[in-house]
Amino acid sequence: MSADREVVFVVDDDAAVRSSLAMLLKSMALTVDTFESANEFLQRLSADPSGCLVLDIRMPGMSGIELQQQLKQRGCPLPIIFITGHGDVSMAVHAMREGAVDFIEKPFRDQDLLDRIYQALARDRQRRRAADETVHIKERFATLTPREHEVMQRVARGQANKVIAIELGLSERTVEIHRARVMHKTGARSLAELLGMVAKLGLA
Amino acid sequence: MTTPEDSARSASDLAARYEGLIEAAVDGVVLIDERGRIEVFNPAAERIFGYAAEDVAGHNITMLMPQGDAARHDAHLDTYHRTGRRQIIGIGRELVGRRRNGDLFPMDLSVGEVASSEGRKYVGFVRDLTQRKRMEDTIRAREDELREVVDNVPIGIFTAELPGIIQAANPALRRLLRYEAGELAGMPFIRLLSGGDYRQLTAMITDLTNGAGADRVAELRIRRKDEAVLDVALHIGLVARANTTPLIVGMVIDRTEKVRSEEVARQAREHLAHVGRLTTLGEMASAIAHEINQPLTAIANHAQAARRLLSMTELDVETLRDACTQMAEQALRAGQVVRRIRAFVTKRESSKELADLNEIVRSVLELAAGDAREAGVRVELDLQISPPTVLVDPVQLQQVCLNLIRNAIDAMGETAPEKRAIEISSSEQDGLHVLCFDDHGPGIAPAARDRLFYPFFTTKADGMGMGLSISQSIVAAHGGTLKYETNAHGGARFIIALPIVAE
Repeated sequence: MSADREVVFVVDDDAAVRSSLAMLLKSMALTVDTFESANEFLQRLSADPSGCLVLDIRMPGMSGIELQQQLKQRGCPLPIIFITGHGDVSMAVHAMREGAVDFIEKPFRDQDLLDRIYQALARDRQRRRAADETVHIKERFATLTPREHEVMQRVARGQANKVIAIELGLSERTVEIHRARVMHKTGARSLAELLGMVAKLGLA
Repeated sequence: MTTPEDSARSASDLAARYEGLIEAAVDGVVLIDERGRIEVFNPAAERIFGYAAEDVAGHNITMLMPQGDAARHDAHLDTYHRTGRRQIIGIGRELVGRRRNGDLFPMDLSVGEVASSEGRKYVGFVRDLTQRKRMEDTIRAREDELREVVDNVPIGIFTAELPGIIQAANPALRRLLRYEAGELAGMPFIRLLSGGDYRQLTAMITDLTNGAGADRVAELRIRRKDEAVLDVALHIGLVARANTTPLIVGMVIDRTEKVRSEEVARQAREHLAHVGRLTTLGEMASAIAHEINQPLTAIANHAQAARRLLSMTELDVETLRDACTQMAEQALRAGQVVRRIRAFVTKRESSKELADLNEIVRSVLELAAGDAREAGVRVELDLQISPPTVLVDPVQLQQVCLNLIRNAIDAMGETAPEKRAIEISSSEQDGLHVLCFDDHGPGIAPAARDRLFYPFFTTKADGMGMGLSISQSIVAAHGGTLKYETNAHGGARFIIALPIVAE
């Protein structure tokens, strides 16, 4: 995944606001896709979108808040910037608690919007990088033999080589060899790094 | 030739014939000599005076007169004998007679003079006028009663000759119009009218004279003598008369108080409606601010986009032009909302005009869009009639529509988001323009339906209960109806029906 596929998705039912946002974002050299309803967005949503979502908080049919919940249920991780009218602060606070990146009140300064969008895009990029890393770790862990896996789990639990040797009925020397292989195969340069990878994969 | 015998016989024949005539006469016949003594007293006279002929024979005629007349009678006779000046002879007059029992009665007396060999005699023909007098009295009493009624009835009544010249007016009419007795007689009724009601009145009289209808009513404005103007109902009828044109009979009923109280009621209704609009707009302030904020947002975005585009080395003229077009449009959109609000809350005299019902609905949607949006409600229009012309106060009708739309929005708080919709449809049914507002809420509970349009009745936690009451009075003031029914989705349907105005 690369930065040039990043899209700013705009969902707003007001045609004038929607098209003006599109023009503004395009003038900022961003790629924009617009939707007139939450349903349309859900229908056209790709499997693994990257970028961020600029979402009107109040809309007829499914509201912005309801769309946020739907996306959460579907595991869609797109950062959301809510655009709100005045007097929607309580809704915005709720949205923030549910994981929205930010909210911005209409009408807004272009720089304020741009700052928030850059922040959201950075967050998305970081998320994707983290996601990529996990995939790589997973691939490396998949190369472990069953015996190496057993040793890795015990090491991660903090057991000493001697204890592992007794439990698995191996010699301490054999455990040491397995342990060295685990470190080599996973690419972990220290015990701390290994523990971090195990935590990321949820194996501990 | 006639023999003396013949003459004697024929004389006696003649006497017998006269006697028979006198005997049979309906009128009383009394013959007196020149001194007033009674010689003949026929059966009719006997009946009238109550005396038998033999009782009065030879007595002075004055016995049949009241005392005053009796005292003067001899003098009258003397005067006549001396001067030949006739008081009564050959003239006849109405006098008072006296019966045997002393009763006095009206009688008609004609007196003739008879010259005979025995000297001058006088014959009197007496007719008892008691019956006729009694009848005349009855008629006169009845006329008096009638006049009394006409004079005292609190309704102005007049009679007029065609084509409308007042002949007489009763005191009530004179009082109503501040005229003195006699001043109205001879005046054309049309002169009393204020303003251009002439044609209505003349058309009414023409219709009546052509036999179309017996009684007509017109609501007119007439001017008092002091120039004050009254609202009246004028009832006109024609009374046929023998050998001449019919008489116009008119009744004038003062409606000024009624018209004034109607005016007061209208003002009160308008005031209430205005307060209702202010309240509504107060409640909608946040949503309306949102409606103005939308175009402002679009304008800000376009302007900022344009500024960025202008700082680029290569000018994208197309996009810049598009941005300018959009900004202008959105500024006008915001202005339109502001204008709608101002029109909606400005206090002014109610004025009905020919208006397009569809246009009224669309203008209301501009006000209600914010509310609908906040509540996530779609509004669907199905406006069929064209051109749907009604005679209405557009602002008041907008108020009714806005009220119904806001009620519908409120009713759908518990409705699933995808089902939240209001359908507004217009159609023509049975000569009426019908406007329906359908929602997808739970409808109105049967127990609440009867009281739906009562003031202060509400099913909302924070409702005043004035909306539907005001709405109904507005629609009623337009000659229409506002009704409720449950629609196919179990939601509420409110139906406005208004009379169609032919263009």
